[in-house]
Amino acid sequence: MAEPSILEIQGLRRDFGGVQALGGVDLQVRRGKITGLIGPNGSGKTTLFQAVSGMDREATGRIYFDGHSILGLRPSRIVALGLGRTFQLSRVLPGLTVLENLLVASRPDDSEAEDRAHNLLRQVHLERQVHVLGKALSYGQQKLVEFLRVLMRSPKLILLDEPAAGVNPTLRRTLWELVRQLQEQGTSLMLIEHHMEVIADLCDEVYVLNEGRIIARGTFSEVREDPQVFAAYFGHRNRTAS
Amino acid sequence: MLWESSVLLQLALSGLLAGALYALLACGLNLVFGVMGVINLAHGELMIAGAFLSWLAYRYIDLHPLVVLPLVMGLLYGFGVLLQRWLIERLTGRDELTSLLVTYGLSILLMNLGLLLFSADFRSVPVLQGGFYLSSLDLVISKPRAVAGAISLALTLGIFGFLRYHRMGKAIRAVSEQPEVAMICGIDVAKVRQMTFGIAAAMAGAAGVLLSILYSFSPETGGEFLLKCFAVLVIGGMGNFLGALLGGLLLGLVEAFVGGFFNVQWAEAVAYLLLVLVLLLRPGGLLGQRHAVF
Amino acid sequence: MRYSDLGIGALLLFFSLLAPGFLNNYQLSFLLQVLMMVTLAQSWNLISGMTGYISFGHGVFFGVGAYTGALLLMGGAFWWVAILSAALLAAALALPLGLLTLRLRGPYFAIAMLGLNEVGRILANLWVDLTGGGDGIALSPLLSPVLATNYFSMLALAVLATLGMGWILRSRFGLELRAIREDEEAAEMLGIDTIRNKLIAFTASALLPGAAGAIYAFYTSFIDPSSVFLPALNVQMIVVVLLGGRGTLWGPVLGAVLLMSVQELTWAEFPALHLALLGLLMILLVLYLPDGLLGAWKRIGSRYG
Repeated sequence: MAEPSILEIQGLRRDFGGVQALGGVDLQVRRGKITGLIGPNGSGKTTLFQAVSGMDREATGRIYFDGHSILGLRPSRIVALGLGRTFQLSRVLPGLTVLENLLVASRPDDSEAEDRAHNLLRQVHLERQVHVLGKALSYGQQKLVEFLRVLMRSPKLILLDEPAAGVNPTLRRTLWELVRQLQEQGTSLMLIEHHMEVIADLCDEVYVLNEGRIIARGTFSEVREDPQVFAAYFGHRNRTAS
Repeated sequence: MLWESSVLLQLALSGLLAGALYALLACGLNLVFGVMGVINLAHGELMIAGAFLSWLAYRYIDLHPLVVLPLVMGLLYGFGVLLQRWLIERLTGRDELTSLLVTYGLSILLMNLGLLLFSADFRSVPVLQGGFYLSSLDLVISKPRAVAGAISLALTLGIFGFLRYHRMGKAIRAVSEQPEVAMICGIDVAKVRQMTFGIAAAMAGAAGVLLSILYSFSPETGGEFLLKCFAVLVIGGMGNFLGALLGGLLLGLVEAFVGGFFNVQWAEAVAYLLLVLVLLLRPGGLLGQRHAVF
Repeated sequence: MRYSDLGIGALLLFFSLLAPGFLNNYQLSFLLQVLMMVTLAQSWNLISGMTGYISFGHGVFFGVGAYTGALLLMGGAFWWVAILSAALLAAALALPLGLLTLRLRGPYFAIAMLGLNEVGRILANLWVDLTGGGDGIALSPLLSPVLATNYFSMLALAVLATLGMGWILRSRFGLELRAIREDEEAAEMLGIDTIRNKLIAFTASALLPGAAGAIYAFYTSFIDPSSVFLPALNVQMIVVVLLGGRGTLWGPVLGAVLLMSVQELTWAEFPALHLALLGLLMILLVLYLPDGLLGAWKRIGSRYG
């Protein structure tokens, strides 16, 4: 077994024209665990995902994924190392069929990609939509296809950016089942999510991000008790005091 | 003797004056891109339309270009509004490659209509002759260059002021930045876009009139200037009005110095070299945050 | 390729192979030009139809190929060596161009390609030692292949281009190119090396125009800057693909046959009018028939079929 954490972030900083989006974030994602990332809107959660996945290569600091330094690598290189990521708003390829959406995400040398795609679609009851164009799916189905797409390469770590937003309750249950299954199979996951019951239910460890900094870390119940977290969500303590 | 300060000053001044014309043209192109996200490849042809209007007025009714300048700007404003209403408005919300194809088609259509009407012969409007002698600096600046440069600069700054301080200018900026919010606030977004395209077309038309007293031109001259505009935009930042102004002045300056120290043919290539150089060195951030760059 | 595609292809090929037997020289020349347009349009289709990166200057590869072919032939090379070299040189030119512009997203590529055909024409005019400048190059009839040879060479190119397109459309490479057209960031995030793919597509799309340029030079036996860096050719290949249908196999073929026939019968003799109409056609197609004739046909078919 290599290092205990699959993702190690040290001192990650990102400025947008003078506005600090990430102000030196340190974070570890442990192997085989589900790590939650929560925080108010605009706290820098998606910015963090953008940097880790290589979509944004202007951040500074250190990011190690599975022993490789990945800051500055293009997304396709990082994906080749075993990272997968979904987007906050669905990015299903609209003019490709559901099957094509999955196949294009498979490893080029994967001879069983087509079987794998059909199996995944059956698992979430989308087998009848195989030849439907991405844009013809409901939004919830699109989010699901986007998730399945990531699974085509059996990544070691998956970053999920609000995977259940806009998904109806039935599909949502399917989705969380899938997440748990993945974890049982040894996949590490990192999850941005606003529903605290989901975080409480799924996550082994939770990080709380506020204004570009980690303000708390621990199990959900530990984090919940943290006064700083309360302040971040419900207004600044010092402001209410004054 | 090339290094004498009077020669340097001469080159700098004539470069800045020539650059002002690029700025006027590029700012219009940039305005349309900034507000509509449309790269108007027919912008050069709009300029040439202005130049031919100036030539027609001079040739057939003996009107001075500076007299027809406001008329041409009005005409092109109207033409721009119509183009926006009938053509460009249909492109909002579609991908930028679609708009590139349409404006490319428009550019080819207009250029070849120009060739049909006026042939490929070069024309000019030689109204201003000689130069101004600035005794204090011991410099001679050619009259057409001084007049065209000064008017270009005044127009560019005037329109910048309008966009920044006038109510309608603020509406244009609102539509550019937050079209949905602008709509909710009761701004007629389609009208504002028409006005924007009209202003850009009027700027191109003005640039054409000024071009006609500076250089000889043909219907095919527009493409050349369009490429220079892109060099200006890439240097100054796409969508950035003041950036395009500074980029235009800079391009004029560099062209003048290259032309003065090497030769004029090299000066013509400067724009492309700058374009390539910027693309090589600063591929990120050129479009601002509008587009991610891989 | 599907069987229906193979059937259509075989039928077209059969007719084209027999054509020299029953067509006169004028008709054969016309058919040669149609095949040339098929080749050019398929090439444009590969980079612009498949990936969505619009190349406004693809004519430059044709012009470079024409000069390469003519000069090599006059230098004593076998005609097929000249054609092959023309193809390779055009691709070798595309590679650095692509490296420079395809790293960038959005309209930069289109802008960079915009003036390229014109730059090619100006360079051919200025580089007198090599190209003879505005006087052009006259190819000795003793060295040039005969019309039938040129016809079959062009036929081979058109077949190659269409077969290649058919293969790409069915391949993973084609799927990846389409993913890039749909959403480039998402494609990259799925592990697709978008830059490498775009570069391969662009370089490959320069090969056949280079070869076609060489054959065209043999066929006309005289070239000069304005006849091979021809604005009309540059615009035609775009209109042909838009007319037939972007990113489809038979769109460029259908478009080439239709556009070439119509313009031959009507306005081809008036260059400015011709181009003005092509410009107008381009606007109308993008606005009212964005998927081209094949796309419209499919839509009608699915509505009533």
